[in-house]
Amino acid sequence: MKSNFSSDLEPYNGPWGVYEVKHFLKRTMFGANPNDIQHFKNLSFQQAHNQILQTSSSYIAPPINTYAEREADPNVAYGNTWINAPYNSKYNIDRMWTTVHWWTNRLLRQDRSITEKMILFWHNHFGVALTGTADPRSNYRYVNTLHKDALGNFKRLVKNVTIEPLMLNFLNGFQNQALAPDENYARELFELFTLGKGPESKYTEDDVKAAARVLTGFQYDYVSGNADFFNVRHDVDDKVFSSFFNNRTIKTYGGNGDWSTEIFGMIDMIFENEEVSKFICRKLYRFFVNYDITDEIEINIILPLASALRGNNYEILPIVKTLLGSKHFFDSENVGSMIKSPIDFYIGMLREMEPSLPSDTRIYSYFMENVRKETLFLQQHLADPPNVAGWPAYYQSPFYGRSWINSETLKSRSAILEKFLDINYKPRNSDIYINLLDYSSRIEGVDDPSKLIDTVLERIISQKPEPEYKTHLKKILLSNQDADYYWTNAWLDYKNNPNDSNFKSIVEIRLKQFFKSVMHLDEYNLH
Amino acid sequence: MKRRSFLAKSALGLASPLVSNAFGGSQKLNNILEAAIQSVDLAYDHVLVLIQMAGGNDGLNTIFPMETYGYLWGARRSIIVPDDRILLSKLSKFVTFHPAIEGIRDLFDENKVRIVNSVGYPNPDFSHFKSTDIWMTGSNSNQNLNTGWMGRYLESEYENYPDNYPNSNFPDPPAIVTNLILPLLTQGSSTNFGEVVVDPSNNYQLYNNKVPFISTGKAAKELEFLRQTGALANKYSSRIFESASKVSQQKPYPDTSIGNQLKNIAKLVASGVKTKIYIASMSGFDTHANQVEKYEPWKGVHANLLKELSEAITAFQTDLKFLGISKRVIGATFSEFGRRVGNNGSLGSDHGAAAPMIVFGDQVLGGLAGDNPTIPPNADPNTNIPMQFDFRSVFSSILKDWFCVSQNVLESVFMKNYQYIPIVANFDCLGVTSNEENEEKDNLVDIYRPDGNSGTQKILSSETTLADGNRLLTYSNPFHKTIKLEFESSGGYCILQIFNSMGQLITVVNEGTFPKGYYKAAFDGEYLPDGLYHVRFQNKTFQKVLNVVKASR
Repeated sequence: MKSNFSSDLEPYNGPWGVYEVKHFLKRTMFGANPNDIQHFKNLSFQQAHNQILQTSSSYIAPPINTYAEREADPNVAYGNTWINAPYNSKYNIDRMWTTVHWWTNRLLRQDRSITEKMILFWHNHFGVALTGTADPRSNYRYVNTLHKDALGNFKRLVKNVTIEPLMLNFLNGFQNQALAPDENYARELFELFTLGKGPESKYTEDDVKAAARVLTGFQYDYVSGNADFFNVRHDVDDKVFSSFFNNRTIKTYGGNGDWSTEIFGMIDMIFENEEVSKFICRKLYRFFVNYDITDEIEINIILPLASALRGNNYEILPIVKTLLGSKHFFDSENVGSMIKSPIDFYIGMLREMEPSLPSDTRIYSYFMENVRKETLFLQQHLADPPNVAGWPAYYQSPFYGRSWINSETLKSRSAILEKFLDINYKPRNSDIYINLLDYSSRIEGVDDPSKLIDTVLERIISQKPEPEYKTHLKKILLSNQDADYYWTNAWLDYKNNPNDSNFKSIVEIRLKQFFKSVMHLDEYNLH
Repeated sequence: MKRRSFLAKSALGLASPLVSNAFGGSQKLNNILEAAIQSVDLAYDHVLVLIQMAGGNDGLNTIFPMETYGYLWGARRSIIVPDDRILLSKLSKFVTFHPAIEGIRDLFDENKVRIVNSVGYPNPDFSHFKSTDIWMTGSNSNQNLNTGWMGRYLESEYENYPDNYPNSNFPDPPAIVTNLILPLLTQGSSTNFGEVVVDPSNNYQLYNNKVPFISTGKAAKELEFLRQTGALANKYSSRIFESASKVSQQKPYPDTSIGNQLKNIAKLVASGVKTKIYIASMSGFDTHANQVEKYEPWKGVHANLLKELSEAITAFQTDLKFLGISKRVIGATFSEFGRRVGNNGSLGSDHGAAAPMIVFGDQVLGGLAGDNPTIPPNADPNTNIPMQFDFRSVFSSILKDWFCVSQNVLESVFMKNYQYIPIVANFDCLGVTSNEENEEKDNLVDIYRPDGNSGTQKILSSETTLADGNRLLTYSNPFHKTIKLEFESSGGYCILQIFNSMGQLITVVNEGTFPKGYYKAAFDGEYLPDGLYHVRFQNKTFQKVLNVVKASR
């Protein structure tokens, strides 16, 4: 095998066809939707790259009450949003689930932008899980905080997340007070959010304790939904850090004045260490390119990116632009080399195959709830990573992305595809299955079996198929005959007589077999 | 010893007289060999269930060190269970249990639970992730390994896995994992030996649609992994489905995640599935805040988790007995670390070090391994429980006794010869030689002396062995500069270690083979800051930890 690994960050200047567009879209969005492929193929690479890499400002209406059927909420009518309603622990679970529905909906209806993928990246980075104790308003707020700096400044994002009510609740920041420090957040701030735990990350246990003391003082206000700072809960002594932080003292703000000088001053201190830039660049690489960071990649990709990140005062956009616009990113070695995450698999499938989604709120929320439960079983429950380090796929050596896959999750993936490919899948009498006739009708030259095969494979499979596989697919379309016109005639019969159930069924049966063959390929789980 | 080589040996041993006498034909010989192998096989169908308690279980709120309960009370007033609510054992007044684990206490009283005290490793890491990796891989705390210790063990049993598996000798998965993520524990050098089985009645068959695609490099490797996983899933799940459907009756279990996991495990074992390793898990033990209810510290999050665990284990034991397989199964709990001695201010406790493990089953030795930890007076927020047993000692001892794993394999799995701790009762590995004899032969090896000051001197030979409590002595305590140590070796391997109060290994005063006798050593601690230290002495299966205090003035 020839190794043509381009081991540097030079801007990509190769071809820009469906193969490359698809790779770019699958990694930066969720699935490569046929219309999006068409749209970006008509642009230059530079234009496409610029368009994807900007923050989307499109508005998705906040989560709504779809739980009233079961449990009436006196403050919120069915179909209205609950985000401004008073906190009521009775509705915690319902509001959490509808937050997940809202988030899922954001992904499904995403703009032509990397924004939602970046939000998921940050969600994995700041891995707050659902708990029974958090106010669901803070889950909603947290997503918006991640959105604001999705392509913004990493340092600012760490500061904002540090004082985000959801995080303060999750890592016991609200319990952390002068008389009773709780080091949960401080430890993860170092280990998971900024410095990492590499061999060069030599902060000490005493640093963890000092940082915990800096972070004392917050309390949750269940009325306003804000994290309030109380001087009396704050440790007003100076905090001394180890030689890893150059023996720096973080002066207490003294209980008088602006507390943020102390807390944000400490975060600035952390960011002075180069480890932060390397740590986050490795994570970006593992999320967007491939989990395998060889020494060569560390030297030629990670270190230059990290250096640029420091040079840009931790602005994320230029770094992501460089990485996702590089020759390395488009190297054939990397295309199709990642196992799809469950969200990539599921939401990507919905966006690529475009089953008709219900418009009725009740049925739609029922559908969203199904998706939520299924992603839970696939092991990527949105808003709810298994722990604060995020999903093992992005940190657990040596298996990384392979941790998505085991006998049970493979079966679940397969069963989900089966369900959507079954025209009898009609939850609440609503047609949610993938309408293969409609999908195929939109393919130019669908009556030519070779063209149909090429188009479908090119759109949804990242690998390039061997000729034998195309022959196999053609046999499906031609019912084991040799001449193309068997399919052409069948298609034209259906096209010219759309109401003839016999013609329709002939085409439908073959299309279903054809798509089953393609989507149940192991290759389909890669992108 | 490998089971296979063991089988081969015993079968030949049985068959050889027959060869010369009655049976000459090779076919008959094969039949007899086969029958012999099968009968031995049945006797050796031992199963080990590991239960991970993810998050760091508060061992000091599970098993209470009654000798120093008063000091513990002083250090964690807001969360400690009051002594009148603690459950006592009929067997020993020093072994006591959290009120939520009455079932485990009852099993302990029936000698079906062994508590292994203060299990950890030197230089504890307080990160969940790093410490979990250490427990899973069996690495040292300054080391990163990409394979699990169980994976390495299974690699020695299942050669070339997964090529040509399942096969007639190994029809079932090497290890079954009952939650949805494969752990690092079962990771081998190129493949994970675990198979996820959440629902044995799910016999969904994946499409077998393997067609050639052009894929090279990184993609090809991932593809190979996907294909392998799918192929094994299809093969194993048909068999598991078929076997499990034969077991129709079981005793009731609590309807909890861990309850259901253990229920499925009992079902699979009873059904004849030949898997020997099962891994179950529960999470939520990271109890920084509100681990107990205010004013009612015997209730709360931690108590509920312990209750779930205890009820599941109790139901499991009852069911195993009902299914007639209780002699074949043992289980052990583990967690990435225990928690600090002192409580924090959030009605919780922060990441700590050593903690007890609970080993259960009809065939385990009952009672307590090791001493209860000694809580120092005036424990500060950093005070940790020092390790008494290395977790690798516990696991290697279990593998040795329960699966008859040879010393060579154990040493290659754990990369060192760890202290042997008797855990499993009444099991004879039939002819497997222990390494004890070899160790005794090494008696003449020179004593290792790291430096002149702390050299160890044999002061007298002893004919009789001292009482356990006197086998390690320290003078004077508190110490100013140097601490004098005396210990008694009954022969064989000894190690004398000094840990600080965080559990970090300060030094190894001495390590080596010490002929039976009484020894004197000294440790120069002048450079150390004042505070609490632990001296750990180990001589083969015996170990003792003493607290010493450094005070300059």
